[in-house]
Amino acid sequence: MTDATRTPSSAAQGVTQLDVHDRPQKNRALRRFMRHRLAILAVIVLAVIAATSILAPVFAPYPYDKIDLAATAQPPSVAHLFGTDRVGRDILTRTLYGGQVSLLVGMGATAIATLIGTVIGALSGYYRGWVDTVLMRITDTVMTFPSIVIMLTLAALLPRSVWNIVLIIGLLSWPGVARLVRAQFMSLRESEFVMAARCLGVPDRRIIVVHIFPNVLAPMIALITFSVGGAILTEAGLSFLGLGVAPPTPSWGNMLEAARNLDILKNLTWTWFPPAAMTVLTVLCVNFVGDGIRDAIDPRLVL
Amino acid sequence: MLKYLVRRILISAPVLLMITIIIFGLTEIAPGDVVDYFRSPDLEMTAEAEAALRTRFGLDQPAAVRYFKWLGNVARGDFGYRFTDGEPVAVVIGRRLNASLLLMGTALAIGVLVGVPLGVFIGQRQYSFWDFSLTGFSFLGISTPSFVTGIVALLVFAINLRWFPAGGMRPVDSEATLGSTIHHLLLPSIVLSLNFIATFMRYTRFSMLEVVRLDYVNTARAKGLSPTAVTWRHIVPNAILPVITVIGLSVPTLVVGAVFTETIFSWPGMGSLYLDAVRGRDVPLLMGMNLVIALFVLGANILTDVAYAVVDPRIRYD
Amino acid sequence: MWNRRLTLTILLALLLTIVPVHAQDAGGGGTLIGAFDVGPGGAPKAIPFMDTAGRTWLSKIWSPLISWNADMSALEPQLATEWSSNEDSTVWTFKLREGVLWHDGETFDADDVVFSLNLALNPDAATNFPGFSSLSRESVASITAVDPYTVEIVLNSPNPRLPFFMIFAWVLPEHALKDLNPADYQTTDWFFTNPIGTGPFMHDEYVADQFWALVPNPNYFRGAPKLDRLINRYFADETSALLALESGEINFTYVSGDVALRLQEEGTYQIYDGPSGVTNYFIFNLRNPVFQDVRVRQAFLYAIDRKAIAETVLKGTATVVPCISAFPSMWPDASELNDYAYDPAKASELLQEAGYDTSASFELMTYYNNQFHLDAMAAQQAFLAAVGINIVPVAQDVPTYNSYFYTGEGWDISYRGVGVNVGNFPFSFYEPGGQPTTDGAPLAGQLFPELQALIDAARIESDADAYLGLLQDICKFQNENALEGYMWTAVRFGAGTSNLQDFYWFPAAGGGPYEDHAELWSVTE
Repeated sequence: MTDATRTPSSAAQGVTQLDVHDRPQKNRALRRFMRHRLAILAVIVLAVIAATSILAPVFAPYPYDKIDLAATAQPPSVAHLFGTDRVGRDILTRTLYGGQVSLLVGMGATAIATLIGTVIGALSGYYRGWVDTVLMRITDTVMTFPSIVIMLTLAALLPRSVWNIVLIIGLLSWPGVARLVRAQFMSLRESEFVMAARCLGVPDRRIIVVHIFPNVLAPMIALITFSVGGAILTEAGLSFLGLGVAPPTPSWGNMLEAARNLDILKNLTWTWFPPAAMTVLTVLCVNFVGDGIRDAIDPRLVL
Repeated sequence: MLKYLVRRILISAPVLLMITIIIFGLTEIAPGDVVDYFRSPDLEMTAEAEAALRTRFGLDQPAAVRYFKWLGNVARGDFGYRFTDGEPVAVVIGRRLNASLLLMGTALAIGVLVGVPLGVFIGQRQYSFWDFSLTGFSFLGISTPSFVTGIVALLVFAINLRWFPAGGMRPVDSEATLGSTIHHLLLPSIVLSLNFIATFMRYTRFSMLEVVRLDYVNTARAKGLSPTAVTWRHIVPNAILPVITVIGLSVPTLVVGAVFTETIFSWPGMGSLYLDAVRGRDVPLLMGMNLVIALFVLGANILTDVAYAVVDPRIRYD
Repeated sequence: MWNRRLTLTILLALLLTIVPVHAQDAGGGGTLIGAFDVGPGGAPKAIPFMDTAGRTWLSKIWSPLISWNADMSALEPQLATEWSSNEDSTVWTFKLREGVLWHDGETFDADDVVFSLNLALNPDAATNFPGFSSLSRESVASITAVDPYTVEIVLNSPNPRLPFFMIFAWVLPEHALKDLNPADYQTTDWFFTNPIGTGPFMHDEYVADQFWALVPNPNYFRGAPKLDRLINRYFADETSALLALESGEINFTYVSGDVALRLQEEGTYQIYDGPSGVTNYFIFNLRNPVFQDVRVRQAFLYAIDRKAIAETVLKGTATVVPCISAFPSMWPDASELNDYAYDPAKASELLQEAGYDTSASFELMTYYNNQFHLDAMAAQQAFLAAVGINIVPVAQDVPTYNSYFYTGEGWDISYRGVGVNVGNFPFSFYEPGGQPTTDGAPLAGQLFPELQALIDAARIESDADAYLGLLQDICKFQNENALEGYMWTAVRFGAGTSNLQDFYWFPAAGGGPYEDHAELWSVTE
């Protein structure tokens, strides 16, 4: 988390044109991505993290809210591979389940951001004129107004459920997507195949959805990947301030929150290290993947 | 240019107004008010005392009346008083803003002074050892929550090594001096700057790599200019252009402050003040802070555009 | 070469000025820097004299007529030396200490007391003088200065506990404040720029958000303090304060139980402890018919192993309570109490008898967000789930919590804490209309006439022993009927550096005020 300094990532985008019908080029992109060894490794690590989190009920040795007052604050052992917290809950179990929440927040918030951003960007880029002016004013406002401010306000005022956190983060992180989609639309609407479609009297909605949108997908995927990482960090940050997902539902963020207590920080290292390491590792991998995708489709794309 | 500026400023006014309405609306929807905040669980408050407090804060009036009153007062330059401790809002914001600008400004400066040169450095050495290790650091920098870095830094450098004070802005048993301020400032600003360094370094590197491929660079080389001259006269100035936008976009965060770092280092800046304002339902403070933040954001946007035009003569605003 | 050496020397010199030099003024009792406020939680929450917490610090500048004694077991004379009432506790006479000087050298007398108490009752000043403002203005007929050192308060209704209310009423200087409009107290900066009191220390420097420094008052009525300077430093939270303590920047801070136990083991700190006087309990929203059944409420107590939680999760820093009162003096004999020892089978049985619907789920609302209570709630949730009671802990911020709690809407059960002591029993929690906004909510007093009768009797009982007996009867009733889900009361801790001499701290709710003889404190090198 960047302490309110998440730099909007689409500051100066190059515009890519990628025709989805152009098979060889798509394969070339895939080949280029496969060459990015770090990104491949990151995909594998992410797959493992996601699988173990989703299958937490299968892998986890205990229920996540199972307390054991006979085994509180235990360091790692055979019975508890990652040790236990101060009410005797298994840290490994909670880390696995915490992954569910963190990944859900990361992907859920990004999905919302993508949806809003795409609609606004598409309308803005396709119709231009006053629609563009109005929508881009709004986008600029949301983009530059430090979202952490609104987030703190909302998070303090709404009940602390997972879905509220998803909604809050999602509703405030769409401008990047909107700007990217708009830039793509603005250039694609002038392209020959769109002109042709328009001459044939294809309705606007169909042109936007069927003809232009598939071509915007590729650069969007890279940006979306980066924002998953951002959303996970934001959840961790909100949790650190006691505004994230409410315990006892574990999230990496609220497990980390416990480390605000100096005693836990210094002496119960095993309770906060796994979620901290998982947060950093996941976000790192997500960023590597994003980097790999960007390099594969267009290295000049600054995201 | 001037026309452009005037238009930008005119467009900004309704945006400002919208922001104040949204924030005011949020505080209205929010459950509880400052009187609820004051209520202590241990003590009884008579209905009479409660009503008197609400009247005292003007909370007995309809929301619309309160909003327009606030707006009218602000138009006259009166930001009102904090609900929670009665201090003039303008005074609190002034004090906290100074602290935030000092901390965040230092962090941003370190970020630019370290991040951009490093970006230039590795931008010339793509796929070298330095490129990999610094890019790796940069990824780590943007992937690590700043509160984790902050806590660890505090534990190591303030508690174990005792090189730096464990928070605060000045010593309390002696006068604040330049030395003592730097001493208190260093650790939190370095923690904060890690992120700036990582971001600016990445952008500069990308930008360098892009510019290196351009035709005029080849032309310059072909002219027989020395590699150093090509780098510093032709590549770097152009590569830095997009980085300026990124730096400009970071400026608004200076005003908001660093919520986590301020909390961990007990730095009395805007970030922790904002949290206090929300928790105490301190409406005048909340409104005042948002107005100031919004002003800074819009101002920074305009300035970024202007800076861009100054650096790049190709850009014209009409 | 020479040049480089010079640069190096300058650099070194610069470094030296940056590295902190812990120099303390020689002579005198030294400088004591502490994180005294609100446990600790940053700068004053409100205008100091209206604050509901932080009174340990405020009592260094101002004095009340009466305070608690050192361990809150009795009252201690401060500006009043003696007090007495007529037979039915409607006329109270306070004898004042003579020869007390304000920090600016003026003489303190009865007019200051009349001025201060009237101010506390003035609706324009809108003070929330805790406790004192809960004396409704109608209940006070007059406050008069009989002579320069005698104040008489006439009440419209009997109040045998009036002296306890005086604890919270700081006495302010009439000569300095008489021209200040009562409505301006909320925004005046007098309390931070030029405060005048009768306490052991005088204002020196206040730096907003950072610290408040005081110097000794040579005219203090218990003798001039030994310290050269007393400083209250503000921290964002407990962790930041603890970090400052461990890095040697401050001498004292409040610490939580687990930290206190660790510091005690390390042995390099002085640990101060005492009962918090705060009881943590579940309050059931009696609007919900489910909780009107005594068997359901009792099942909560049988289902939760309170003793185990207190001993393991809370590491023995908390003791289980039988009723709302935290102090054993307010409990009847143990033989008269049900200890509700952990018995999940019994809990299930009671739930079955009551026809409890185990598919129901209730929100457990709280305002606590520290690790101590989060852990406790996780344990409570797990224990209750084992007998089929599903609760979901929901933490709210204070304004949200209070806006729900006091209207009785939007919550089922609340986990909270209340400070209960002999002088300040929260009778109104049990009485209809006692809570201003609980419009028509069925409160315990309505549901249980027997409890209401005990409360009515206790309110006007002027004999101290008989009053205590009534409090014990209330405790017995609460215990028998599991009126609320009584959990535990915790010990609270403070940690000080080993060079503190004659320092004293007690974890009084809201900071007391209590007698801590600050004039004797000193710090050795």
